[in-house]
Amino acid sequence: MATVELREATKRYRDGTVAVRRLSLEVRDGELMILVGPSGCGKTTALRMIAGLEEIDEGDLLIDGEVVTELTPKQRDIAMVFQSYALYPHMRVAENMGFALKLAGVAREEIDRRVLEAARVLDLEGLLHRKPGELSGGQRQRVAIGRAIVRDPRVFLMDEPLSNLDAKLRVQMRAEIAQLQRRLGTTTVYVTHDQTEAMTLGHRVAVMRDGVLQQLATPAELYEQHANLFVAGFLGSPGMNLLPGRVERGHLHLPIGDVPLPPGAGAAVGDGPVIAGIRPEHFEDAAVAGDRPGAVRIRTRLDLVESLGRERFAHFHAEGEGLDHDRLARLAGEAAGPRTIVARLDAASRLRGGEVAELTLSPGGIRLFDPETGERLAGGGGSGAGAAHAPDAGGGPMRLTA
Amino acid sequence: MRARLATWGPALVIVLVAVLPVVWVLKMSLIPRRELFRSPPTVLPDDITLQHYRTVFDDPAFRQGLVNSLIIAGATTLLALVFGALAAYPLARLRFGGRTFIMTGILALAFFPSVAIIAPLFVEFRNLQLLNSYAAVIIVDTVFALPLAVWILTAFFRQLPRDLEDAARMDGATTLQTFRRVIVPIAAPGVFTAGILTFIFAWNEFLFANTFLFDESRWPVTVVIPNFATQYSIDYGGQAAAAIVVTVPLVLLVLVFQRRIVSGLTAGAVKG
Repeated sequence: MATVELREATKRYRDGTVAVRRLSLEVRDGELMILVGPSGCGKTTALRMIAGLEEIDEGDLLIDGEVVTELTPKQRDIAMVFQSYALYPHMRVAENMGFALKLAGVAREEIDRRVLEAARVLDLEGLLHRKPGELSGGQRQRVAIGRAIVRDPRVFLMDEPLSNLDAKLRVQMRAEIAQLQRRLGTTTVYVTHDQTEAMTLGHRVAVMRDGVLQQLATPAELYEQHANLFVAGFLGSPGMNLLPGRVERGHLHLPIGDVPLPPGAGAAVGDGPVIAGIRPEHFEDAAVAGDRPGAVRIRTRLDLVESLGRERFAHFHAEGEGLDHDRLARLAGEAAGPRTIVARLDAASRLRGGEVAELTLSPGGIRLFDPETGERLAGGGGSGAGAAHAPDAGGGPMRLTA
Repeated sequence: MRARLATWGPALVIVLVAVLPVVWVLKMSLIPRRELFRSPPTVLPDDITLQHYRTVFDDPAFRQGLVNSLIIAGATTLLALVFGALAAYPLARLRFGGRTFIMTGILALAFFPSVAIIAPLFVEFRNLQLLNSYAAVIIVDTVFALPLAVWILTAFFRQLPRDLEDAARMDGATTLQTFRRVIVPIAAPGVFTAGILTFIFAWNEFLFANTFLFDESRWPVTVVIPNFATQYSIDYGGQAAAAIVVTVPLVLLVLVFQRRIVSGLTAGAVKG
């Protein structure tokens, strides 16, 4: 049972690049916290700082309220599951799992007992005498987890533990890890670049970019109440559509049409240019949706319709000038790009590519962002209340607590 | 077909050029003395005889030479591996100033012509009263074998997944425990490779042994073989047989450990 807290922790590499900048977050006792972000965002470095494999250049790490910044990994009593599993290839499964206990001088019988217990939990009993080379990917993954739980550490760290598994196995292991973590109740920090893993596994999710924490919130809050363009663009698949817009007297002018803003929202935002974010699911085929209260109709020619069976994705593009892509890339990262607008339609939709279609758009789903800073603007459907975020003037480092 | 020939053609030529002298020596070791001097020489032997091998093995000096070679090459290999591994690990893993300089310096040592330092070494060993001892040859052989060993081991340690060391650290291992219980066992293929090459080098070494060892009873085979010439007028057949006998252990070594070198024990450590 433990809490983990990073206080303004910074990691600088020798060449001067800052991998993690003034990161502050607090993992509650028994919580499964996800660090998520695109590659190079500093999430793995942050994890290794907690592990003690990377020094913390500035700031502190606290476990159970005690400063452990200067302690070795061994003294921190933390176990880690590596992306590559990092099993010792020359040792049998049982030796792999018992290695830490053996180094700690635990008695042989005690080691055997604990290894067997962990093996039972992970369904590895039959494999204890095999070597890692004789195991499948999923089995190696279990052994790597087994090696961590045998020690009964204060904290688990997991670095993209599922990324080497095939899609089917990944879903299965994801569920198992969630169950195991709940059962053991061990405080866990889990790094992934996979938003699905982040949203399904995490009690809370910390989204990072370029070494800076963007938002720390529960998965639901994150999806609905994203703090800025980057978080909004990073989550969801297909991603949020980003369109240039202009607010004028309570109306939002978009390249695809004009949308009335909810009463009060327009005033809160104020007139001027904005970036509008619309998730694909906020569009619908008008023929299927019928007249929803408040929905806006737009007519457009569809470039392409993809059918995924349960749902359909219609691609279309808006006339008129687009967004400044350099700026969008700076604000939204990978989510930016010269791309079309994607709408998710019901499977019942009969629309096809090349047709002129009538779609509905729910204004409540539109999010507005500041075109300069990328910060979420209040209003534009869904209030900002609950968004665990206080924008810092100048877009500098942020301190976030939920 | 043409493309295949383009691939295999050059390979075949290289193999022929490399193997032909060995095959010729093998043939020489197996034919009777009179056929050896026939001109033009026979391509395929008319007669096969093991006479030369009998001569060689009947010679106590040759048998002692094999033992001496084994002692010298074995000790050299052991020393080169221990010191080489201890030097290679930090060179592979730590980033420190002058690392490149050290690596280059070690390599430069290998370029040093041994003839150039043999006189000062002779004087030095005389002062140390090491002349005419195995130790003199083993020390010099080790020094000259170390650059290769260090370079091979450094390259090998460097490509071992760092995660394994991190995992060991998380498991509470000290640096030395990690080295001994994780790195060395996994690096076994690299250690074998370095070991075999060192052994071959020391086994084939002639100059130092010929200079520092006066006593026939301490000579390695490489020094014994040329002396067949003086002992039996020039016994080409005997020399050929001795050369084959000396080469066989090396060929066997490589064949035995080949699979170990290639297969690599790292399978299963990390993905792929």
